[in-house]
This record gives sequence, structure tokens and C-alpha cells, in this order.
Amino acid sequence: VHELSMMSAVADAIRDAAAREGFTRVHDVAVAVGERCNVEVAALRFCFDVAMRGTAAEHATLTIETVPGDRMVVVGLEVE
Amino acid sequence: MCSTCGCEHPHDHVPVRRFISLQHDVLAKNQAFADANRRRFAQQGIAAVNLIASPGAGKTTLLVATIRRLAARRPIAVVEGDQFTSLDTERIAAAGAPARQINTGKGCHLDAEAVGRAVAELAIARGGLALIENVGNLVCPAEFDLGETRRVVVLSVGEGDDKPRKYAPAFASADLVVIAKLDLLPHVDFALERVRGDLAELNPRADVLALSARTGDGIDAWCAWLAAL
Repeated sequence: VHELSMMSAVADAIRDAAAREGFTRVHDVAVAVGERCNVEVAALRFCFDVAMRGTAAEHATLTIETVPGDRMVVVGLEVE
Repeated sequence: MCSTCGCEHPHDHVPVRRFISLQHDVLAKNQAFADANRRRFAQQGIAAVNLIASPGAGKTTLLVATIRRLAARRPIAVVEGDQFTSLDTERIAAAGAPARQINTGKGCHLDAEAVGRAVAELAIARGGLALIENVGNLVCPAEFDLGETRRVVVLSVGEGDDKPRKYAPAFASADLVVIAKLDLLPHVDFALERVRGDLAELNPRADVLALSARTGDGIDAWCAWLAAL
């Protein structure tokens, strides 16, 4: 149920990366979601659109991979 | 002049897509604040207790009873987490302890950054207790380390004896499980021994205390547990 705060943290990470790497547009955001991290993939997708508004990833796609463990990791970004 | 690269001849640029590896742990930011809180609490000699329970389990009532018993012996301050209102802070203040309200709005849990700020504002004396009442929710608060010294999960008997198994991550992360509203036990179907058995299986290192803040039954054991922190 805390998918919105998780996605807001993803948006922060994208802002930091954009400032560091100098990209202006993100095409895809790849995240790995631990199967024990209590987030719902459908809710993550829903919150993604809301959280990415106003960032370089506003119209990006979201690729989610389920992995073992209890962490959620932003694996990487396809940028331009 | 080319408006993209600034060279003298106008020409097309093919946008170059590239992949940037981040490997950014989404909870890392909260964890960093939690670790900083834990260090600060230790330096300042403060014991911080994170109370997690469903809405209506009796967290605030337990805190009010605790303040009445312990405040004369030890500095106690309370951080209250709720989506909206400062109703709980008002109850705590009426019981005689300083309190800070955190309204999470859309958020379903307290985070380490907001808690660190609230505890700092409370300026708790050395040897004091910071009692942190998390947002009523048995799911999300379990995921967010606040840097607490101890984590307490409160389950009231009216919620049913199947909750530790249904909300296992919260109960598995507890240092102490408080079974609250013990005075209601004769009126509800709550198999206390079964809950103790489930908890022993889920989390053998957790202590279990059954109490009623209303009658005072078991409150001494709870206060002794807190006093030992």
C-alpha cells in the first residue's frame, strides 16, 4: 500500500540521475521488485504515472522484474 | 548553425538512446535517515519505541496509561503518526507528555526523516523515552525502519487471533508483541494460547505481554519492559 512513496523515491532517483548524467528524456524505467517487499505490481504501475509527472520520465514505460528478496531496486534507465 | 551541437552546418542528429545503470535501492534513503536516527538516539541516551498496530488497537490508550505510570520517573515524549488530525497529540498532551503530530496525508506509514525531525524538536532529556505511534496499519509501517531502539506490535483481542499469521511481516519484525484489551477477552473468540503459539513460531525472539490499559491489568509488566530500555 506504500507504492506511492516507493514511486516518489524512484522519481527522486531519476531527478538525481538526470542532473548527474545530463539526460532530458527517459524512455523506460527498469525496476526489480523483491517478492517479499509487500508492494503490489498493479498499484506500482498506477502510482508510476502519478509520480513521474513533471520528471524526465513523464511518458516513460515501466519494466518490472520480480526477484527474490525484500528490496525494490531501480535497475536502470533507458534515456536520451 | 546546427541548434543541437552548435557546429556550423545544419544537419540531422539521430537521438542516441543509452542505458544508464542505477542499482538504486528505493528504501536506501529511508534507511540512511533511520541509521542516523539510531546513532543520534544512542548518543543522546534516548530509547525510541516504534508502536505498530491496526487503527483502533488501542495504541494511544496504552500510551496515555504509560505516561500516567512512568512520566514522573522518566522523561517521556510522544510522536504521533496519523493520516489526518491532531486528535491523538491532544490526548497525549492532556495526559501530560510533550507530543508532536506527523500527518502523513496520502502516506500509509511514518518515515525515518519525519520521525528524526519530530524527535529532535521534542528535545528529550538524556535517559528519556521517545514513544512513536505509527500510522494505524499492520502492513506498510513494518517495511520502514525508523531507527527505533525497539519495535512493538500491538494486537487487540477484538481483532481476532488469526492476525499474526495474516500479517506475518509486521509480527516477525517485532521485539515485543502486546496483546491489548485483555478485559474484552471473555466477550470475543480470541484463543490467546493459539496466538502465543503462532508468535513463538513466527518470531521466537519476541516477548509477548497481555494487558488491559483500561483495567491496568498487565501494565506493570509493560512499564517494567520499557523501564529496562
